[in-house]
Amino acid sequence: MTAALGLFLTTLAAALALALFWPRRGLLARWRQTHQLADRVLIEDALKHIHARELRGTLATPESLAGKLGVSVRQALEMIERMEEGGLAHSTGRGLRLTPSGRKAALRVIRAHRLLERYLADELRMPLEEVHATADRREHVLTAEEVDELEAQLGYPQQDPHGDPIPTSSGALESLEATALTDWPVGRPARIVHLEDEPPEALAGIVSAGLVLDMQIEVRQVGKERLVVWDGEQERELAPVFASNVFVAGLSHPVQPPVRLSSLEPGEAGRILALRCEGLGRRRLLDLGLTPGTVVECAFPGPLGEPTAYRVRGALIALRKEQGDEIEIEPVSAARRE
Amino acid sequence: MTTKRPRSIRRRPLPVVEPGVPAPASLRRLGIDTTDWDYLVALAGNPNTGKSTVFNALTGLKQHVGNWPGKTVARAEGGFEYQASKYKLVDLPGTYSLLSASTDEEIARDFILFGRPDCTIIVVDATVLERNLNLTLQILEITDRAVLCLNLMDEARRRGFKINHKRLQRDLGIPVVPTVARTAHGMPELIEAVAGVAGSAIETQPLRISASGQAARALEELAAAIEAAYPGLPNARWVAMRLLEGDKRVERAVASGEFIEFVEARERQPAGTRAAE
Amino acid sequence: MATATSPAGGQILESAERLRRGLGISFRDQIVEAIYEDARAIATGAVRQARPAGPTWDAKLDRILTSRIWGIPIMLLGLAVVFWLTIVGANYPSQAIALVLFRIEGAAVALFDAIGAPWWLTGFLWHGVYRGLAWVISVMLPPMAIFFPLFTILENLGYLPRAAFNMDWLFKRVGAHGKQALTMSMGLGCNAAGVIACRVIDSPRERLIAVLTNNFVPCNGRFPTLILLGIVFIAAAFPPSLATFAAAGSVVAVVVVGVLITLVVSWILSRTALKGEASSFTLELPPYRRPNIGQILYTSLIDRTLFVLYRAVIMAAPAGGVIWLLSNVVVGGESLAGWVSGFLDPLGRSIGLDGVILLAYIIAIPANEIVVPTILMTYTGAGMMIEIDSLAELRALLVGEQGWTLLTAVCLMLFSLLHNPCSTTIWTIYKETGSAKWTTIGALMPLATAFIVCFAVAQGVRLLL
Repeated sequence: MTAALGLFLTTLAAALALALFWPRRGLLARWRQTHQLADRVLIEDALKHIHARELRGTLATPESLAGKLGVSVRQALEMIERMEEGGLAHSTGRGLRLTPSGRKAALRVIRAHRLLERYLADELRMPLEEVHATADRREHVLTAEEVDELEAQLGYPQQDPHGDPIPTSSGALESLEATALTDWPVGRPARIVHLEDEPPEALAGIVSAGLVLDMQIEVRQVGKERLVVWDGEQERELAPVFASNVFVAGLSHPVQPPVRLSSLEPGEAGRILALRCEGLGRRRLLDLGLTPGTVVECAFPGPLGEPTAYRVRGALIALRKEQGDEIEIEPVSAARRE
Repeated sequence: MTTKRPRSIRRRPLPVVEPGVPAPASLRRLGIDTTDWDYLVALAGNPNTGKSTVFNALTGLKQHVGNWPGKTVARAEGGFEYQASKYKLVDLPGTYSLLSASTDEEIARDFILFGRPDCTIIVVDATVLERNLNLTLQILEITDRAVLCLNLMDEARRRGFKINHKRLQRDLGIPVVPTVARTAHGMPELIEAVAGVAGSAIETQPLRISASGQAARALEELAAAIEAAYPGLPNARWVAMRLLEGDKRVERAVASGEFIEFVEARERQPAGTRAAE
Repeated sequence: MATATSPAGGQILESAERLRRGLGISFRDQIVEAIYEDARAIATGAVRQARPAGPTWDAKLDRILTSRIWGIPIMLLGLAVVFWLTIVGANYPSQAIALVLFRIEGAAVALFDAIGAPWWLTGFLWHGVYRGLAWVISVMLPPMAIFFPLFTILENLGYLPRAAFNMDWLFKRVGAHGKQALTMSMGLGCNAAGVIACRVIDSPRERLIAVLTNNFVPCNGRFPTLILLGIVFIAAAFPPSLATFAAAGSVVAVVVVGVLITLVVSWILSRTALKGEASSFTLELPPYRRPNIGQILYTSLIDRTLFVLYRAVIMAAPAGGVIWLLSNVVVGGESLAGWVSGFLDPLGRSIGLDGVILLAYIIAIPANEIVVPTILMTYTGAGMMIEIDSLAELRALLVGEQGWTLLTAVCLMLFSLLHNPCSTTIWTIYKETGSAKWTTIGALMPLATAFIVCFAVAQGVRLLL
């Protein structure tokens, strides 16, 4: 009886020990992995923050870092120490600066983040205000090879869905020249080049006001309560807090509302000027022969109003309204058609 | 127009076969029997161009024909015998392009590139020629052993199109055969052209895509580098194009030296398999 | 990145990377534009429009088939006509085949008895294996031989992309891809083929939705069940002159329910496990083609009918044996079938069915075709002969002896429509997705849906009545 109990207890203890200490799959190893991952996530987020502050010209401080990452200042100081030991960042009198290898690491994460956003927005069609948070979670687990693979799969996009440039695999990052909409003079034509992705509530507000990347606008009116912009067709309003998250660049010509393929009625035709999409969606349209300069005729709509069939290079191709919206055209009269 | 280079197809006399075998009548359909083939022939084309009908007409195999894009999802193989040579015919998935990354396009692209067919039949719909030439021109960048099967000529005629296939042949630099696969019209000529290209009796001089500007300069520079590293590679320009686009599969092939094997295998070909080479 | 084994390869990749950086995204655009420019130039040179292109019959046909008013009614009507022709055309051949095959059974049994073969051998071989086979052939072959050519005509004509075009609006609303309608059409023939056809959808999220929901279109293996129930239960409520129409209508109704469930499940998937909005959608509408009747008959009969029948026969023979054994191996005064169906009975009753039907669905996992034969063979037990060519007798057995009601028939039709895919389809889902997780979901999610829907219908009706 006691022998059997002893044997049972020994087996139990052995099993427990195995479960705890088994290399790579044991509980301890798992806990260490999670811990290490959480650690790396924190460090990578810290590097991103320091990088973002550097770009803005205001250096990161232990306090700003703690606030950004949601840790205590003491923990932030510990992390800074570790980053300094690892040769990733160093403190100066005014704040934190990245070392060259720290900048490289930061750009690697930013690259993964922005490519992921592109993927989530284009391929999974996630709402724009949600892609940032999802990419934030997934950017840390991708290897460099997987990021390269993703970039190739997406067709080497140049910017993320918010208009931020995507660093190349060698770490080159174009700088973006843009002014906040709130600082833009009234009446001067501009193009939206960037939508700030944080906080998501602001982005959601901007999106619901109907402002999108690449849109041509003109500020009509600036008030305390609201800011009114004109897109060539209609006026759009948004709160100044949201407007400060919209960045624009100058436009050499007056605001022209673009004509979209989707606006054609059956029998009407247009010549393609530009495709306003990137990644695989763009590839698909190009492969169908929807290249700039091509004349497209609207053939007939579907029985439920959508999709619409278009005649392209002799073939009949159905597109949903979203695809039609991505294609900018100039109307062509039936007589001038080839 | 497209390019300054004049192009022509030179026809050498077809290789002499045993006397007494009449040309088109010597076609023997082998169905799924594809053992001991002498020549490998790929069948490519846009979806819904009658590719499967051409396949059936050549092999006698009744493959299912569907009239919607992307029908052939699995690769069908069949065989035929013509003038004492056995041909294995592989039906590739119908695609509009070889540039995107869909599974079907990858299968078709990989077969033309790595399967090294002795001839690729490109089936096009004569009623939408312009649209179909997109794929044709891409295939011609990969391989110079190709025949254009200008199918559905009856439909084209019914719609009032007149197609100058001689001119098309001159512009593309490969044999062009007008056919109506449904009634087997033009099939003997198609087989003859395939035999000619596969057996090197017909020398093709396919049109290459005429890019311009910055893209063209980058393309030429890279193609020259590839040609210097792998002399004899028939599609250096295409490889360069894929590399500039960042095609991971081609990158791996270049990195691992798979292309060297490709060139070597071409040179090692036993004399018997390529009759007139 | 693969490690460069050849130094030349490494160098080439480096210069490619350098050049690409200088070009950016415009390279792709420039190449595609160059290709299409060449294509245009060549085509303009070679093609001449001899006659001015008036409105072709293609355009006229499109205007009708995709019209706001007629587009969708024509689609449903087409489906109804296909089913009606199948039901009407299959009726007599089915009876004739059954008559012949069951005469053979009778003769063989008599012969076996005459030579003194043991009863269990006669039973297993003839009342088990052979009867399963005979059932599947007589019930399945005629409808398939009519349905497949009809369906292939629609396919070769070029109608299916138009159907997808008409339906896309609905699929877009539920976050799915319009080409899912194409894959569903293929599913009408065989769900495994439908799952493979999902490759035409290039967005991974939407392809997965199409794969997981393909089972909600009844495949050819399930039509006979639906048709039989439609004739015996639904059509019986109509005057005889309208009986076949009512049967066809009930099958169309089941298919429409399948489409609705597909849309609902796709919508739920798009909101939960496969979150996302509809991706970019492009669909080519190919020119209409005159179908080649000879080829259609050949391919649809040889490629499809015989292929599917062969698969069903392979599954039906052993299943027939298993049923015979289950019905004849007696443990504790009750056959095994009795034990199992007794155990399943409460569950079956709660969803409007009974234990025998659930048992049949377990045995029929390899092939849905054998559900009805399994039910009948289990009901009739050991040696009892039933003239299955007589619908009246069938009705007498199901309604009179087994107490089936209209509710049983409706629930069985729904269960047949929604339950788990057959093993071939499950295996195909695994091959196509490469994921055990999605395969499990693809198998269990429909089963759960079937239980939920049937439970709701059964309990709802019982509450109301």
